[in-house]
Amino acid sequence: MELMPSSGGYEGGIFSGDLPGGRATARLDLRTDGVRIAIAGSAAQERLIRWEDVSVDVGGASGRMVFLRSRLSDEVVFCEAPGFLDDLQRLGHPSLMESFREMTDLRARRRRSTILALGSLFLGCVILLPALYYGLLGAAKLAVKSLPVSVDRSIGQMASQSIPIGQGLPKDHPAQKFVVQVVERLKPYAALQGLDFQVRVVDDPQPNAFALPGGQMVVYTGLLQLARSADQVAGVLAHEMAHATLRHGLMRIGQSMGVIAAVQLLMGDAAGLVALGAQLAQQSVLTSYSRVAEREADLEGARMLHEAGIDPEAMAEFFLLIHQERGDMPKIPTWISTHPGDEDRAESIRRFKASLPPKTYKPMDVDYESIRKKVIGDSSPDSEENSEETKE
Amino acid sequence: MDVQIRNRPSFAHLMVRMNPGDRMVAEAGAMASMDPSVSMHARWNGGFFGAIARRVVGGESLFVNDFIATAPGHIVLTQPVPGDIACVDLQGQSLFLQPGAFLACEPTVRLSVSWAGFASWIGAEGLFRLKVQGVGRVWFGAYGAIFSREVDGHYVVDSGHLVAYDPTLSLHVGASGGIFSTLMGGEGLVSRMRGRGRIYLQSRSLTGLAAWTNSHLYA
Repeated sequence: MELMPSSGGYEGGIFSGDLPGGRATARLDLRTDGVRIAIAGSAAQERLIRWEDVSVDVGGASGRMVFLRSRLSDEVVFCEAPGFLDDLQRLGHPSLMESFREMTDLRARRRRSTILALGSLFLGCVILLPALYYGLLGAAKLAVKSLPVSVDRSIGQMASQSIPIGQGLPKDHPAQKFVVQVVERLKPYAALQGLDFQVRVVDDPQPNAFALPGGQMVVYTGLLQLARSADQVAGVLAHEMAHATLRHGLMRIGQSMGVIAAVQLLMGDAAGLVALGAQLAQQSVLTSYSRVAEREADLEGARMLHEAGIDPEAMAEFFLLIHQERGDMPKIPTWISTHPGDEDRAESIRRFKASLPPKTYKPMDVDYESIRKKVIGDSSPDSEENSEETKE
Repeated sequence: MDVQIRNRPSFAHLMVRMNPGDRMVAEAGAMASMDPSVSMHARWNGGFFGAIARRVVGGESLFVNDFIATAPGHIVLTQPVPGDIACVDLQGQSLFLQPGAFLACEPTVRLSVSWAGFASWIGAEGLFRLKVQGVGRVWFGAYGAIFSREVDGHYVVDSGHLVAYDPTLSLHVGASGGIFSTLMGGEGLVSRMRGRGRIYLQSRSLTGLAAWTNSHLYA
């Protein structure tokens, strides 16, 4: 039944300690001397509360419920019918007007505090959310550092099984022997001990190489064809080993999980997101690292080269070579996937080298040209054509 | 029409004995069994748009069923969760029901959805709430036992335990304590009921059950 004004007044109710159950529905009639309350049901009766003894406020679940509170007893009359408040105001009784003034003030104060609350909520979102995000990234980094190296190895193993890597060259292939030799020379200078460095040459024309967490690395024949010296290949492998020793793969997984954990915290419950996180972990090992991670790996790789007695300049040279190469073949994905700044990276490696104590470098003791020819000879005709182009 | 709430409180259901011409409105899917002398008609829960609104934002069903007895017969109505069912006899006043609580009502009772506010939503009490008003009985269900309490002034209810409340009460969502207590005390956000009126509470909360279940899923 809609609470509608009628000739008899409004549908409403009354709270009063002397009523059965402490309340009753009632018909409310606004008169010049006060509100007349006709209580229905078993306790049928009429009451009058005079305007002098009444204070008015508005609230309730909808925010539109009008309460008339007696100042003399515990009686409270309530009504949500449309027009009830307007009629009250129209009566214009002096003691009611005071209540209305207070209500207007209160409403203005509430509006101000609402605006303040919304404003601070907005500011909070703008400031706190990024802070939370970066805080979590930092926390993920710390958490990853405290993990045992065996975690890197098992994640790498899991990833290598789920990623279609391609056909590896035989173990006795000169190119395969060569990359193993490079890794053996660099290994003693790795910043993180306990990793199981393994490298495979895979027959693929793309000039690419990548590392999985735990130290498994893959070098494509395309990269060996592009490199001009054994030291350049060493530069690439040092960079990849640095990704593994700096645990960039785990950082990425940790960061993705960190964001998921934050979402979980905010949403309360997110079992589905955990499953998503597991999937994300597999994908993230394949996708490229951030630019910051790439630069870290550059400098750590250069440090390893220097310690192992290989000139870091070769790494810088290879960056420039790739840069040049990409100009010719813009669509082919290459080893350096973070596009802008190959020259910058070469430059920062050179600066880093200049900051190191001078040292007499000893190049890799291999006949790289014959290895390279062997790789070109073994490759498919398609990739041979590519290498021909490269030579020109 | 005679309505009894049976097997209280754990697995309560409504046993409705109807005389010819009696009508009953019930939540879709609530009917567990009935005599063939009672006919059932599904209709939009308060008109097409009203029904969509109730479904999308109120957590209620898109349809309600009208049961009309052509000859004496009975129907059994149940709710999906284990718990008690309560009856309120409306005498022209209205009552707010939390999403999902509505079970059945007499045809003279009107159902409508009203905006509950963002505060209610943040407090996990839903963005909208069902308002029942008019003259007649309304039955609503809960997870666990239902108990009511007369509020006069200020009362605190943990989110998820509120089932129904009088429109004379206002609902504010707030932290259960200080920052530490709110985060670590396991109570999180609570609803603060202010004013005068009756509230109906359930002794268990579904979010509590869901959280408990989740914690055992991957164990």
